[in-house]
Amino acid sequence: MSKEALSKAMAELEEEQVIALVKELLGSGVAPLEIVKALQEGMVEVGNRFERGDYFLSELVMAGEIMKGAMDILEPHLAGESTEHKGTIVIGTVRGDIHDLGKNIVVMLLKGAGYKVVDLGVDVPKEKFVEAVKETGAPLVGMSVLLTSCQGALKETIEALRAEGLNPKVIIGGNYVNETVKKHVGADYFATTASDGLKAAAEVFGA
Amino acid sequence: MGRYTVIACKVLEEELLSLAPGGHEWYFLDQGLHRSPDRLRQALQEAIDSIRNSERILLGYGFCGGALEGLRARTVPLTIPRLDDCISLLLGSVEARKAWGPETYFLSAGWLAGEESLVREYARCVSRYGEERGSLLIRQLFCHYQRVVFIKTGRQGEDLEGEKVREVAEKIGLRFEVTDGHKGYLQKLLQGPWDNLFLHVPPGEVVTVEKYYTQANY
Ligand code: B12
Repeated sequence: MSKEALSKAMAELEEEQVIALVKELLGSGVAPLEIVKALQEGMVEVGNRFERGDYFLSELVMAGEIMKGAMDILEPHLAGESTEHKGTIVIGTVRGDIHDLGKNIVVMLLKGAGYKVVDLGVDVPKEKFVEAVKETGAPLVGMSVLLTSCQGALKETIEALRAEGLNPKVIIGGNYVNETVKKHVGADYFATTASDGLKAAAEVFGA
Repeated sequence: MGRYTVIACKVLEEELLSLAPGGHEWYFLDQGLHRSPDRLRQALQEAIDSIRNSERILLGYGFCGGALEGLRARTVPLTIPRLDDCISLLLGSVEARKAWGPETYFLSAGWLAGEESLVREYARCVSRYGEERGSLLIRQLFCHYQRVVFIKTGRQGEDLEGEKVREVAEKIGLRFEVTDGHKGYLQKLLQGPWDNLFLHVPPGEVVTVEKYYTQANY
């Protein structure tokens, strides 16, 4: 059984097959991180099919659910759950925005890559970000945003962190963010895909 | 050849046509393009590129999740409402929209007329995944929402469409409310005055997120 088969089953939304394959690959000694990568490839394909019009909204949710099921099996084997995780990342969808399908995928992939992730959910007020960073001392904060109307919220949240003397790196992620938005809101990185996010995290944690 | 050419989303078709002062030329693009800001941008650029003999192109779109970023005016200047998406256009202002809070999902008869909508997606989902799982998936999709607000704009048969929304909203445990739209913004788009609620892009220039949001709401 191959990782390609797992990516394909994920892309095809074959729930039972995905679960069976994850167990099988784990059993045959494949590293959890490799398994997560295969799932991620499947997810990217799901996104492409959605954009092409082959999948609909419910398939996006379905894909998220299948991924969650797979992660439940993988989690006990991931470094993020143990003491030797690579580091802590705080993440949430900013105030005013309640899109979270993309953020949830990013959370799972970061966990898959060995980070400890504190997920604050959606419509997160700046105070909550501040509090979470104080509590965890996280060197990286991820803010998800899909609504252009929420750029103000991004900016205010980052300003609130800085005003408290907190200096974690901030990565903003979503479908429309770019260099201009990043500069405007005062973030350190931007990501329009989950893998951009993983790359930035690797840089921040030197992992 | 019309003096003004309107390129707008099908979601707004009837509302715009009902205001049409005559002399405008119309292009309506599929609502389905919204699932991919990149595809929407491409379709918009193609439409813009095909228009040469017009005094001004009026875009019946918001920034739509970055879909307008990078659009280039060719020989004809563009005038674009300075807002995030068509919901503020249907409600008449950005403020009217904000008043509802983030836990609100908006629909109008124009949204329901498209190939994708809450009503169709619910039906499709239930037929594909069965009543229980299907309903659960849609609930999951809307898990952070509290209410569905149906915007009435005076479209033919819209009350019937509203009832369909009410049924689905009840099934997935969301409150259903109805509100009246306001055509002031759309009217202004068609006829001016094009004040600072609008972005002007002269020939050869490009739309950027910076230019778009340089005013108060940024
Ligand atoms: C699915 C969807 C919904 C679902 C959301 C379900 C949910 N639980 O999240 C539903 C149907 C409920 C919905 C509602 C609304 N939506 Co919507 N929605 C979308 C849609 C079609 C896809 C988004 C998505 O989930 N994509 C799949 C995921 C996997 O991709 P992603 O989100 O981009 O995430 C990836 C990257 O961006 C990145 N990423 C994302 N976050 C982060 C964070 C970090 C830290 C990192 C590193 C990376 C990262 O990694 C992810 C994985 O690769 C987009 C259009 C689009 N293609 O973007 C519109 C879109 C975002 N929605 C839009 C609108 C208008 C709305 C509504 C206002 C509509 C309404 N009628 O009321 C409401 C929003 C209300 C609110 N307050 O939030 C507009 C936004 C316009 C704007 N104002 O800016 C869009 C752009 C559609 C459009 N072109 O008009 N929506």
